[in-house]
Amino acid sequence: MYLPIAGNSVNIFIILGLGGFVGLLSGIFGVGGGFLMTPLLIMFGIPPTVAAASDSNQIVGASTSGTLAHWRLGNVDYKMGLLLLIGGVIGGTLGVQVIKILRAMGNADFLINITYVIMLGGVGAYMFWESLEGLKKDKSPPQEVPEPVEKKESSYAKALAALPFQTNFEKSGVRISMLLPLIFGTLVGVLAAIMGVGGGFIMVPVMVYLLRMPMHVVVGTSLFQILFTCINVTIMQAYSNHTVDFVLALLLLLGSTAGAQIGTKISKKLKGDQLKILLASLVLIVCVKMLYGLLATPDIMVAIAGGH
Amino acid sequence: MIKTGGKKEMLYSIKYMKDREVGHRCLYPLVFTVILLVSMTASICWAENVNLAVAPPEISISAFYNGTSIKATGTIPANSDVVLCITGPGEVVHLKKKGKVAGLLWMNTGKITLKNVPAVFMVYTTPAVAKMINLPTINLGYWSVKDQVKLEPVSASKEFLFKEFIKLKEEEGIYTIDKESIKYSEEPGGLRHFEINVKVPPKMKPGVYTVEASAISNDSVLGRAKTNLTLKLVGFPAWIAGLAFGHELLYGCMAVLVAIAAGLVMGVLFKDKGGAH
Repeated sequence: MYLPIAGNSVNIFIILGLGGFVGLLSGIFGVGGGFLMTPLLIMFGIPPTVAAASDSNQIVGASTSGTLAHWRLGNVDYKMGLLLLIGGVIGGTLGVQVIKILRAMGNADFLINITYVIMLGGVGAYMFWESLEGLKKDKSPPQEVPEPVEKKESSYAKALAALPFQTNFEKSGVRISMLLPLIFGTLVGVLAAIMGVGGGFIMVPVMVYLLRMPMHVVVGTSLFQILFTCINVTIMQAYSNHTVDFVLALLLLLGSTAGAQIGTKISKKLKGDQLKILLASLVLIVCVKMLYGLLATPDIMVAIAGGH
Repeated sequence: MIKTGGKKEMLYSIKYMKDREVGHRCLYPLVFTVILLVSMTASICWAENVNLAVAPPEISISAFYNGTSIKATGTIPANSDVVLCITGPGEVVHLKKKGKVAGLLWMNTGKITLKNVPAVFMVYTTPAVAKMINLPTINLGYWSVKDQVKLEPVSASKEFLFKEFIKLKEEEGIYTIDKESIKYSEEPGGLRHFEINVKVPPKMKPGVYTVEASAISNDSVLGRAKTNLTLKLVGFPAWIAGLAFGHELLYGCMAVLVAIAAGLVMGVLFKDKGGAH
C-alpha cells in the first residue's frame, strides 16, 4: 500500500504484524512501544520524522484499546493518571527547553545517548533483579501490592507519609501526597522529551517503585496517561511538521488495537513479578541493541536527520 | 607576365598584389562561414539522430502503488553508446554526521545540509561507458552531481560526505548506475535503436522528472535528447495529501479521532466478560 506522506509503499501484512506485536506489548506492560516501533519503521524504509509522528498516532489507538480493556478490569486509576499527566506536560515543556540549551552547547546527542543507555540499563537491570527476587520468594498466587523491601522502603514510606496533601488513591490502594505524582510526572516528562519517547518504560518503574502502585493498576494507568500525551503529539506533529502519515497509522493501529486487547488478556494471566521480569528483559534487550549501535562501526557515516 | 620596367608597372603590380591580398582576405570569412555552416549542419544532423521517448510519460500513484517500470526507447548514431539519465528537481537534505566520541562511541557528531541535491539520480548505460562516465568530457555520473551540490557548513571532507550520501541514496534505490538494462538493435540509415526498461521505485515522489539520453562515442558526447516523466498522486493518496498539507489541524484531529474510534471498536469486539482482578 502506498503511504502518501511517508512517500513509500509497504507490505500491508508486515505493517499489521508490527502493529500487532507492539500493541501486544502495550497491553501486557503498559508501554506505548514507541522505543520499539519507531526504529522498526525506519528499518522498513519510513523516514524517521514520519515514523515518529505516525507512531504517536498509532499509540493513541492502542492506548485507547488498552485503557478500555484495563478499565473493565478495574485497573485504571484516573486520579493518579491525571496528576501524572499534568506533571508530564510540564516536564515535557521543560525538557524541550533543556534540549534547546544542550543543542546550543553542542552536547545534545552525546547526552541523549548516554541517558538512554543509563536509563534502559539501570531501570532494566533493577527491575529484573527485583522481580527475580520476588518470584523466588513468592510461591503462592501473588497479591496485587508488591512486598515492601527492607528498611530503605520503610524510611521511604515515612518520608512519603510526611508530605502534605495526602490523598487516597482507591484504585491503586495507596495513600500518598498529590505532589508526588506531579513531581515524578514532571521528571518523567523531562526525560521523555530528552529521549524522545512517550515515557511508558520510565513511568512504569516510577509508578511501581516510587509511587508503590500494584503492577496491574500501573499498566492501565500508564496507558491512560500515554493516551493523552500522544493525542497532543499527533495533533502538533500534523499541524506543525506535516509528518503524520494517516494511512501508515491506520494500518498500524488496526494491528495494535487488536494486539493491545490480546496483551491485556495475557497480562491477566501473569503475576506482577512475571510481568516486571518480562518488561525488564525487553528493556535490557533494547539497551544491548543501543550499546551495539554505539560501539559498532556504522556502514554509512551519514543518516537522514529526524526521528527519535 | 608582368614586365618589370617602369614605375607605373611596379605600382600596378603592387596594387595587383594588394588587390589579390584583399581578395584573399574577403574569401577567408566566406570560407569560414561555409565551414561553420557545414559543421553546424553536421552537428544538427547528429543531434537529430538522438531521439528519445518514454512510455508511459505519466505515472499515476494510487492506493496500492508499489513502484512500476517504464520503457525508454530511441535512436542514437551507429557505433555510439547511450547514457540515459533520470534526474529529479533539486532539494535540500538535512543529514546527521556520525563520528567517534571519546574514542569509543559512534554517535551523531554534527548536522550537515546539502542544497540543490537531485531528488533522484538514475543512470542507465553500458559497462564500458560506466567506467568513463565521470570523465570531464562526458560528466554524467555521480560526480556531476557533486559539483552542483552545496554543503553547509563548508567542509574539507565534502567528497567523503558526498560518497556516504550516495551510499544512503543507493540503499533507498533512488540513486543508481545500472549497467545491464540496455538493449540495442541496428537500424538502417546509420542509426542504432536502444530500449531500456527503467525501474521506477516507490520512493520516487510525485513530481516532474527529466529524462535525458546522451550518445557517447570516443569519450565525448555526440548529442542529446530530453523529455519529461511525470508522477502524480491520484485517488485516496491524493485526498490524504491534500488534507495533510492544506488542512493540517483538521487532518491531525481526524487522525486522532479515527485512532480513538478504532481503539473503542476493538475494545467492543474483544469485550471481556470477566470482572476486576
